[in-house]
Amino acid sequence: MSVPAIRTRGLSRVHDGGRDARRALVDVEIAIEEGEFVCVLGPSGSGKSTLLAVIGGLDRGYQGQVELFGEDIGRVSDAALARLRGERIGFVFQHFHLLHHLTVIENVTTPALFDPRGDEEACLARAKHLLDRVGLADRAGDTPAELSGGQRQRVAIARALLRKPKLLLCDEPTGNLDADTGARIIELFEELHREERLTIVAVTHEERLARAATRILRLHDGRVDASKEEPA
Amino acid sequence: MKLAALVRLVRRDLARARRALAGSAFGIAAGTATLVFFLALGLGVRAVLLGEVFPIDRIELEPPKAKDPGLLGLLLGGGGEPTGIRPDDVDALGRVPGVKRVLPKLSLAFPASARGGREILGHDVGASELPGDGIDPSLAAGDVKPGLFVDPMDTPGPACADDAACTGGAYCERAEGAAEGRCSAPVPAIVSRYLVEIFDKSIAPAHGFPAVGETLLSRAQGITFTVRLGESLLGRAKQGSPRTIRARIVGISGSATDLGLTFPLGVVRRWNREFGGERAAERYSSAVVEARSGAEVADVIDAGARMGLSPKDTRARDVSVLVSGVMALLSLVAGVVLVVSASSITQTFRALVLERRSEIALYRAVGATAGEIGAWTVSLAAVVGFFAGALGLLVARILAFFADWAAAEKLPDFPFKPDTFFAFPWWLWLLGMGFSVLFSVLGAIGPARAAAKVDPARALAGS
Ligand SMILES: Nc1ncnc2c1ncn2[C@@H]1O[C@H](COP(=O)(O)OP(=O)(O)O)[C@@H](O)[C@H]1O
Ligand SMILES: [Mg+2]
Repeated sequence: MSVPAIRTRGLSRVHDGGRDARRALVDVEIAIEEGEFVCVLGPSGSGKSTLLAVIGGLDRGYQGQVELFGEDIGRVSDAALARLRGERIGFVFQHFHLLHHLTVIENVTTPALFDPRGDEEACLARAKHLLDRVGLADRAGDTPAELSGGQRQRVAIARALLRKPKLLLCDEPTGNLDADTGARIIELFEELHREERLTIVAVTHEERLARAATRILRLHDGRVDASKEEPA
Repeated sequence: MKLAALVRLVRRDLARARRALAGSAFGIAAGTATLVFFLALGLGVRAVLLGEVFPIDRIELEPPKAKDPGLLGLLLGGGGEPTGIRPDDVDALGRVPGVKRVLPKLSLAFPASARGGREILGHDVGASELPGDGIDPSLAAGDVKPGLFVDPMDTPGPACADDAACTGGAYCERAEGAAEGRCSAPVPAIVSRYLVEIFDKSIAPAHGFPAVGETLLSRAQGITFTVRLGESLLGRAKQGSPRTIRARIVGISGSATDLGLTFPLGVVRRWNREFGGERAAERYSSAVVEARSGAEVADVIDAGARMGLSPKDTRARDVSVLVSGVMALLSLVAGVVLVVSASSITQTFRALVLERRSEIALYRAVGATAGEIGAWTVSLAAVVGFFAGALGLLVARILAFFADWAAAEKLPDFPFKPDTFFAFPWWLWLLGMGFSVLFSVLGAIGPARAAAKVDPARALAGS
């Protein structure tokens, strides 16, 4: 069996919020193989965002072990982890996090700024291709303010895919969208998973996103509910 | 991060945060303008003072005095090695822009005493301690008849064993241990007007000697002395054995050392080698530097200072020190302005970083290292400092222009009133620019560290 894309062992995360320390993750043991589309379901406050930040290498204040593509991210330097994020991981957020002073195409090419080996022309071509892929080829010169919520999330997805990541981490990607728009974003994920064999981990509290996944993990009070792990 | 990416990030910042950055740059620009204005004023005024008010176009530079050896030095012996000016430094001084020529001086490195003066004074007088210098004969060329002040060994006489073998006024110049000597005309020496004044006004009346006027000196065809080399009342030379030579005073010169006799350089070099060693023969004790104009003396003083040499002429040094002091004081004012404006940069950048936490977090998520975020912030500050510096320099130049104009129009004529009170050498522009960028960057270092430390997970959690 190949190395899993993500593996955690005894993963815990305690947020020290002043007097009461909050245990956002408790002894989480998961393994996600390459090519899986995993949906992490759980109520608000159950630790979904925390889990995503930890396995995405954005939050290093955890206990336990986290391996990404076989590499223990607790042992690499901050700079090496940043490179790993840039090369292997794409992030999609509930609030899109587009930069409003930039155009759509500039937003999509943002990750290239921190790519030491990037080629400007290739990057621009890829960005255009991705915008075409998400159906926004004609909006390249617009600013995010001129786009609808669904369109903004598509731009964010194009940005996440710019450097051809192997892993897409999505935190409530449809949380800010109406049902129809959300549904189309979910379709886009399904396509990406099917056509590009992208490993996707999406956390949400909405059951409808789960229907697209190949596996569902349920998180409750920071614990993975193993009994309820189910294939979709 | 590639440079192109950094440039792109900074350019975008300049476009969108123009107003905030311009506000914080204002202080830096004002500080730079103040600094450059005052420095230019100081440099300009110093050039006027040294060049016109006290027109000194030649200046004597000295090495630092040999250090006090201290108790340990005395106990261990040694120490006290004369520093001297190396021939290399003399050459380097000669290459300083504005320098016409450099005339090094070599002091006697051994004790000597003298006795003589019968021709004018009626009977011999003695100096139990004879200080003396050797100078390039061309230094005295204007004051002494040609051919008089030259090294006698340039045209040595016949071989000799002792003084008896030489005729006329000549003596046998024979260093200790040399197989044979050569007959030598009395070594020519020049004295200063100052020494003649002292003698005529203080010494002669006390002893009932006639005054030694310039005319008397020349009419007497020179006063001859015997000089005891390597020995004086106070002691003996460390090496060589003392011997006696003849010397003749051939004139009065402004180039002569104030107290003592001044000989042609080659002679003193030979004697120093004999009684003081090689180093004493090679290292000059001071150097007279002639500038093309008085205005350039300030540059000569600066160049000398960089080699550790300081002016012997206290007037030039005083002017130089005074103006430098005032300049330092005014620069301090400018420094305070710069420090204050650096803190305004800090304020602006702190606000900027706070406002951009989620943007910074996004960059971190897509692959930026903490170092790259810090470098971005510092680069932005450096660019702000660059523009502020350019503005400051422009303002300083314009202010200087108007100050000169106002002085020309509004101030009454006074002696030495110059066309400009300012000097803007090329390095002043660089210096202004350097300080501007430096203080901007210093101000931004704290915020840059904060930017590098932004916790991406937390910053992205917010909307
Ligand atoms: N930065 C933080 N400081 C303190 N507590 C936090 C922080 N982030 C999250 N938490 C707490 O950790 C728990 C899990 O939060 P989160 O992972 O955001 O849950 P979810 O995304 O499932 O809503 C919550 O109780 C939340 O209050
Ligand atoms: Mg959440």
